[in-house]
Parts: sequence; C-alpha cells; structure tokens
Amino acid sequence: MKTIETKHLTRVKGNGTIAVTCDDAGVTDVKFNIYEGPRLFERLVVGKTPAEVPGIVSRICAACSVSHRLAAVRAMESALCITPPRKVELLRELLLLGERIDSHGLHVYTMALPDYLGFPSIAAMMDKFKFEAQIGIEVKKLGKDIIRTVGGRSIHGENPAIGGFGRYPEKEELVRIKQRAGHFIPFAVKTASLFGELVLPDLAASDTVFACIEPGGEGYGFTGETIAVSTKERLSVRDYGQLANEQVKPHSFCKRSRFKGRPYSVGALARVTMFGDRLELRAGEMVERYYNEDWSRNPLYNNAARALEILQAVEMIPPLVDEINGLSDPRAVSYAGGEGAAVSAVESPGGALFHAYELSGGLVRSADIVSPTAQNAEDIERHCLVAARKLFQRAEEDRIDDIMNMVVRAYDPCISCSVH
Amino acid sequence: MNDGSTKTGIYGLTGCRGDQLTVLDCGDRIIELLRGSGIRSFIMTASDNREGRMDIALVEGSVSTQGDKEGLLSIRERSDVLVALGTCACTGGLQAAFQDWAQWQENYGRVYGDPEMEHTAPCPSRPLDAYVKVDFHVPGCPISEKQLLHAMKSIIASGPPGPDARPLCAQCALKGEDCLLRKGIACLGPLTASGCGAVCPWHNIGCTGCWGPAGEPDLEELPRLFPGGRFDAAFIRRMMGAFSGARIEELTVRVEGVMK
Repeated sequence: MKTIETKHLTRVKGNGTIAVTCDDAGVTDVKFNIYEGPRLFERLVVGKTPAEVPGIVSRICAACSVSHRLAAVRAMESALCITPPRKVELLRELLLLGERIDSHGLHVYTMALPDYLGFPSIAAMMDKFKFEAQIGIEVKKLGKDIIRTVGGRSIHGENPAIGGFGRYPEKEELVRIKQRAGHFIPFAVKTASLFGELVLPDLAASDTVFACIEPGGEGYGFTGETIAVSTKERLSVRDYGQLANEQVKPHSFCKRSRFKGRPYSVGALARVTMFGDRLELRAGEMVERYYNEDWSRNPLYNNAARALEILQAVEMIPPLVDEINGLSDPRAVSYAGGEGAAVSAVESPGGALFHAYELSGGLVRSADIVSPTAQNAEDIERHCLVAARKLFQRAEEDRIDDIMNMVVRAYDPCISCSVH
Repeated sequence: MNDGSTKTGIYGLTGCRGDQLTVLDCGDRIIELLRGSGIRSFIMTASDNREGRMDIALVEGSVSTQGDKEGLLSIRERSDVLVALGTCACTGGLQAAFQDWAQWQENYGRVYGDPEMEHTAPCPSRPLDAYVKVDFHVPGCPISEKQLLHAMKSIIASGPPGPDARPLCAQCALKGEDCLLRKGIACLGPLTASGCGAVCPWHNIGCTGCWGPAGEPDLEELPRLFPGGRFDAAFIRRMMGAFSGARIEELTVRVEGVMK
C-alpha cells in the first residue's frame, strides 16, 4: 500500500492536495485533502442584524463575493417580506453577469489554458500566445469594470444592500459598460471557439450526475425556486438539504455532500448540459456547434462551458443596460421586523450556492451556507480516481501530479468558499 | 540567477484570496517594479514555483491552522522582508472575532462537531504578527492596488516605511454637511485605517471598518458617532469587532482612555 500525494495544488483558489492510494492491484482510493483553515462564517453572522450580514458573507470569497452578498441580500428580503423594485433586480443581474465574466475569464485564461498549450502559467505563454494572453487580461478588466460600477468596488463592494443600492450608477456609466461589452463580443466568440475546439484527454471521463438551479422564467438566469438534477428529479430550493446533505470528513475542512448516496457536480458544465438550449444569439450558435455527448462525461469540458457563458454574458449586457436606463432610480426601501426564515439560491460562477438564515428578535439566530465547491468535492475525488486508475494501467504514474491538478482545476474550485 | 530582479513570493494562508487577486490585477505595473524574473512563487497563478530565499514575501490571510503557522514560520525564515497583505494578515480579519479559546471552540464545535481531523489542527485565527516579526502591514479588505504599489516601491527603494496612521476621514470627500455622521448614518471612518479612498461613504454607505483600526484614530469625532450611544468598550467591540480581529483590544483601551 502506498500513497502518492501531490504537492500543494497550483492554479486553484485555496489550499489542498490530492492523495492517491494504491496497492499491488492498482488504485484503491483518492482523497481531496482540504486543509484550508475554517473561518466559521455561519457562526460569525449569529447575533448580527440583517443589514450587517451581506458585508460579512461577501468575504467568504473574492471571486464570488457578489454571489454570496446577493444570496444573503435575497434571503433577508425573503425573510422580511421585502420585494425589491425591478431596477434593483436588473442591476443585480448586471452585477452577476460582470462577476461571471471576471471569474470565468480569470479561470479559463489564467488558470486553465496554460495546461492545454503546454505552459506552467499565463506569464510563460505570453511570448508564443500573446493574443490569447491579452484576451485573458482584457476579459478580467471588463468583468471588474462592471462589478466596480454597480457594486462599488471590484472585490467586496458594499453598494448592493437589502432593498436596493447605496448609490445608483449614472446612465453614462452604464452606457460605457454597454459599449465595452459590445466591443468584447468578437473576443468572447474567439474564446468560445478556442475552448470548443481543444482536444481534451478523456482520462477522467465517467457518467456524471449534475445539479443546478432551474432559472426562473425562460432565460439563462442566475436564480430560481427549483433545483434541477440531471436524473430528471426536481427539488424545491427550500429543500436544498436533500441535495446537499453536508457531512464532516476527517481529511477535509470543507464538508461533503452526496445526493442519494451519489457524488454530483455543479457549475458551468451542469448549467450548459441541462439548460444550454436556453442560450441565445452567438452563444446559442456556439453551443449548437460544439456541444456533444463527450461534454457531460468529462469534467475538462467545464472550461468550454465557461467560455460559452462568458459569450452569453457579454451578449446579454447591451439590452439589459437599455432596460435599466429606461427606469428611474427607486427610493430607498425601509424595512422593519425581525422574525422570519428563508433560503436563497444563486448560480455563482462555480455552481449552485445556497444561503439559509433564521431571524429572531431582529438578529440572525442561525445560518447555513452550502457552497458549490463543497458540493463538487466528492465528484472531484471520483473523477480523479477514474483518471488515476487509467494512469496506473498505462504505467504512467509519473503524470499523476499533473493530471490530478488538471482534473481538480477543471472544476475551478474555490477552496476558500468550500470551507468558509 | 542575479538579474537585478527583486525575488518575490506571494502566498496565502487562510483567507478569501482577494489580496492575491488584487496583486494579479496590478499586472504589468508590479512586474515592472520587480524587474526580470521577480515573481518566483505565486501558487495561485503558476505551476513552476521556485521557493528558497526571497527578497520580499507577500502573505495574505490569517493563521487559522497549525499548517498555516508552520508555513508562515518557513516563509519568515527565508525572506528578508515580510509584508502582511490585507486585513486578515494584519488584524486576523473577520474570522478573528472569536479570540477567546473557549468561545472559538464552542463555535467550531457547532459547525464541525468533534471530529478527529487528519491533516492539521485548526485554531483561533490570528494575524501574522502573533507568530512572526512583520516588516510592513498593508491592510485592506481587499487591499488597494495603489497602496500596494506605493508600499512595494518604498520597500524596494529604501526599506519599509511606516504605515499611514491617519483615519479614513483624511481621504473622504464628504466634508462638512455632507459627512455621513452629520446625516445620522453610522460611519466608522474616524476609527478606521485609510487606504481605500473612502469608497463606501461615496456610495452613501457608512464605513464598516474593513481596513482595521487606524494607527491614530480620530477620537474627537467619537461623540458624533451614533449620537446617544454609550461609547464604552462593549460598544466599540461591537462596532469595530467585525474586521479588527486581534487588534480590537488595543483600540478599545485607547478609546476608553480618552472617554474617561
């Protein structure tokens, strides 16, 4: 019996390793060791007022700060029976589109693409692949511009609040965003075809159960009241605990979930697999052109799915800005009351995110947060096991470190989020 | 290889990665500053990291596990200048609200139960300087690019300067009648370190103290903070407690000293 443990995983967000255990017959087990420290966010918010919670939970993660913040804001609104005005809902959607562009853009170009072009980093590929590296830099600038304009800061902005915004962006600022997004469309198309055409190793391929939030309405939105599972099952968001049954395991500060005993995956590939037919415009054309049956079995296709979502996001922005600018700024919503409970679900870049709060006497009594990477952790181990077995069968154990990194990386794991 | 570059390592202990992402966003500006092959280790963005001696180590995050502590000691030992990057590294951050061991254990137990964890032991979160000498603190949640570049320039040119001790009001555009405190909006600016450009007050949102306590808080503004409130230790702890982490006691003592 021996265990091969990778070095500290690189080009991921957080601290962890993969440990492969094998005996003479082959690989027996793979563990995703997560030793990123626990920060106890679900306890930090206890005893706080609803207004204090969004700023605290946004600090769970820098890449999906907006998703955490808006999940908390929406849960509080639901618990306190506040209905936000339409302009507020639309600005939140714009903010989430910006976050998706920023997070996916960071991941596909800076973290993932180097592997597929044979480089250890985006810096190293700057000479030979200058055009691609430049797109990688510009896509983040676009995402951050959107987040800063609507959110107040590019990371952990305090502008989105319960009931509305501290300060509404000027029409001109949003027109500038619209123009910037429009100019980026050809580069987003290039991104979608670049990743759609990559030939991907199928070492980790295996049938996968997917889950995501069924978008409300008919579009490819971020929120809804129903959880969709690729087994054709549907759950109410309120019953998220039946999907994510969070258990503590001794090798991981991030809790683990299985749906009816089976590991499952959330994220871009889950969304495109289950609701890709709702993509429109060029994104709709691209999913028709590139999506095939290999995608849903191979987690490496998450990057192609992210590329499609970047394109979808930039195409959605111009008409969204027009609609926002056609509405006047609402007055501040005041609220009272201190009893209630609610669950809110948001599709953050990494996948379905759930925030649940109970309020009593005007303060938070309890909180539960289930993050996407925590839900993916079991399936990450499973796909790594599949890949590790193939490598051993081919006597390619020397590739374990590289391949395990690639499989984990494909999930764009946010280890800091997963522990929280 | 001595190519005139400033050998730099960028590390994260326990935190949200926001400060490292901000370093990344500095892009060309930081690469120019460090020259040549400056960045030797940046695990979040590269796989060909070279450890060993560093001229400058930037470390984000709090020490929240035994593993974090060991990692930090190693980085300190092989680095000439150690910079605490961000509020978690400077004060312990949000997660350092539970400073008392028993209080931390109770809350940890509520989240995890009482499992035997295999790889490393967790602990109450502390800032870097609870365990090692820190040469320079760059607070922020996350840090500001401008403040970071300014700090790096100073360090490379002539060694670490002292941090700016003034409170946030020094950077805030809302003076006189525009001050949020005068409008009855709770704002922790007078007690909070500057560096963010007062972006939240600009959005009509009171400062939440996320840069940690100011070196020289403006204690004359205190009576205007939450008019009618009692400015005692409990009050300060509640208001500044979210981000001031392990630094809260020092701040409380100072405030109480003035209020007497």
